[in-house]
Amino acid sequence: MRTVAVDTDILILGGGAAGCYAALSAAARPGMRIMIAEKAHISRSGCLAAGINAINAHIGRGHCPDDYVDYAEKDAAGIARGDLLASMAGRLNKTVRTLEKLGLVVHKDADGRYAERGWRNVRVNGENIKPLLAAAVQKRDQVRVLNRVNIVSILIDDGRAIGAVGFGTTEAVCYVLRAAAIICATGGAAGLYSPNSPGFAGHCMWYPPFNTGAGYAMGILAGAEMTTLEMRFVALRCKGSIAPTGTLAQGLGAAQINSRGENYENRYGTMTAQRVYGTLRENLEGRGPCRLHAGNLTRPQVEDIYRAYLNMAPAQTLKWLEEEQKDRGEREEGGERGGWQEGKGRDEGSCFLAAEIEGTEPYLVGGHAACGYWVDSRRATTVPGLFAAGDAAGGCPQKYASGAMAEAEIAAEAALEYALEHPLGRCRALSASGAAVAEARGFLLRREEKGKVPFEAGQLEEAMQQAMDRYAGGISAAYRFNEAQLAVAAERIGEITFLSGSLGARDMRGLLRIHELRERLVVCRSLIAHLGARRETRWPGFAEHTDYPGADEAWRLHVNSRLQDGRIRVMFRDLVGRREVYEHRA
Amino acid sequence: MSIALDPALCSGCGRCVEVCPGGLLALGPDGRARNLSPGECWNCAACVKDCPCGALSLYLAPQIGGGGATMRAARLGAVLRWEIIFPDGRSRFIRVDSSRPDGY
Ligand SMILES: Cc1cc2nc3c(=O)[nH]c(=O)nc-3n(C[C@H](O)[C@H](O)[C@H](O)COP(=O)(O)OP(=O)(O)OC[C@H]3O[C@@H](n4cnc5c(N)ncnc54)[C@H](O)[C@@H]3O)c2cc1C
Repeated sequence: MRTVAVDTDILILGGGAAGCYAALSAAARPGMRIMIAEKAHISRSGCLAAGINAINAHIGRGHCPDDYVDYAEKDAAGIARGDLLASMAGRLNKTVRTLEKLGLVVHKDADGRYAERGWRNVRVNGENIKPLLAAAVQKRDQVRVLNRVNIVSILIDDGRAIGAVGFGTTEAVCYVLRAAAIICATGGAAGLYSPNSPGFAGHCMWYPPFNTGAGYAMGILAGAEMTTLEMRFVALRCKGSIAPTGTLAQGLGAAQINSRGENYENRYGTMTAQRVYGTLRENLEGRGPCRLHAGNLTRPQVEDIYRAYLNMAPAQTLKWLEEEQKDRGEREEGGERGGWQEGKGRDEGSCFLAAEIEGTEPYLVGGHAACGYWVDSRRATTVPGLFAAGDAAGGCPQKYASGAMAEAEIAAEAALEYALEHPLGRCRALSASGAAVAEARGFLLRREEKGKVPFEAGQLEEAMQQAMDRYAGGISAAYRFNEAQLAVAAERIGEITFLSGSLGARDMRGLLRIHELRERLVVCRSLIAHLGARRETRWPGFAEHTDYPGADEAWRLHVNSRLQDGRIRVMFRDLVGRREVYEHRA
Repeated sequence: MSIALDPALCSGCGRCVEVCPGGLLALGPDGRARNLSPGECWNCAACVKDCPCGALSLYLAPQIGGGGATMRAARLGAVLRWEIIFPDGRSRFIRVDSSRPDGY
């Protein structure tokens, strides 16, 4: 394996929504060298690969950023940082205008104003949003993109982040990247829990299975403080395709209906977690399956929905088309299918569109929930020189695509300032990278050794997912757990972590799989500690601590943690108001 | 899981290899695309949309209710033309014009 050492001013880990936007923002400053290290290829990597059909965070007419802060705080049942939400919300509309300038087609009404879908949402033709961002990045001479480089570790020298180590995913190259400031934008974590449909369709999940929580794991191992990992995100999605439901729910006002035809939404509330909880309860109490049902549609409306889904989740359109075809076939044969069915309605003229809905396995996503790096108001983590944005950064839920980018701009401004004030002098990057490189070499060499464990990374991944599923509140446990179960989960994760140290990799792809497994295990360990630390149930639907059912006002605080001397130290921090400026204290 | 590859149509341009967010596609020794790990596909269809030869199509796994239909795409300027082929041989097209804001 060759080693390539590269120096830059600003190093961005992950070239997704936040990473690309951070690069564009930083490139506004002439003379700065910027580098993105991306494990896939920035043209379609990350959450935006399939595209989007709405910008979910935008301040609509007649509203102000404070309204957005109110909404997000309420949706998070109070556990969100006011300062972070306010600075993000203040930049949302500017971000959308920038995206429009880059070529994103935003729907307009008859007066040429953005077509709003509710006051926080604008409709877009966003199938190509990621290629548009990537093309803008590639046009900047100052920005160098390293595609197919999986970053595994942040380099620390004298308490400061000075770079990162990564490995080629196809080529046998080790990259030692040195930078004056680093922005972590590797997204959130999927694949910690058994998915809805294990086995061959196991990656048909909502969050990208390739976002493994690497950024969280690197931060945890570098001693960064993390926040609110216990606020997992469970998405309410179309069964099977795991496609988003907003187009039906907000776009068409579709209702959540149980098998008896009752609309059950208002029984449980309409906050994000409550919608999941309601669907879960209806199923547990024998009133499933639950569906999202939009009635009285015209045929052209149905066709529009098909196109809208093709722009972000083509599998759902395919599912409806298959159902429609089946329905039509049966009608031609003269057969009758009784009861209520998915797909197109039978009567001419009026159609309905429905989809069975279910909760996904839990994810850690700082752009939807409040988990991730504990940052100051300018998005600096507690490790000097390291900044975070997007799904990797905590405290600021309801970011979505535009918020991730708004936050990336804030982080880029802070990182630029830091890089100018603290240029990288002589530092021990190569020696600091020694441990990560030696470990990777070990995995690659172990292939030939005797006495290695007979397991593959994929098997240990499944073992990890099952342990989390059963003992740390996955789907099969109805998102519930108690202290005794968490103790079992912690023990299993410890054992699997130990075993993962003896895996062998055949090639760089194999090495990638081992790194992905091991970073998930690091995240699981901290997640379990957080689930146990919050002794209440604040977000039923996302997580239910059965030893402590019900919310408790004493827990209106942030649960944070830090790895210290090999142990996870949990600490509690006060909420931060929207007019406050939060700085880390030494 | 859900990408079907027709090697006879593949020109070996490597576009799909570039765009797959999971790095799951590669060019084989014959210069044509191959799927390194069908069970790890995320269903995003990035490769399907960017394949200039129509060699890649999306299908739903039976585990998630798939009935055997496949879907491929052709780019005609700003228009993405999706072709859905049903198991009985019937097919239909859906055009999505990304330059024109379509209401829904
Ligand atoms: C299926 C889906 C649909 C969505 N739809 C909408 C929508 O309609 N509207 C909306 O506003 N928002 C939507 N969102 C939310 C929005 O896409 C995210 O909030 C946003 O993309 C988060 O940006 P990010 O940069 O943090 O993560 P990503 O965009 O996922 O970027 C993370 C990047 O880091 C890379 N990476 C990960 N690990 C490493 C590593 N170790 N080394 C190097 N690179 C690494 C990944 O490959 C990826 O490119 C959706 C999200 C999902 C998952």
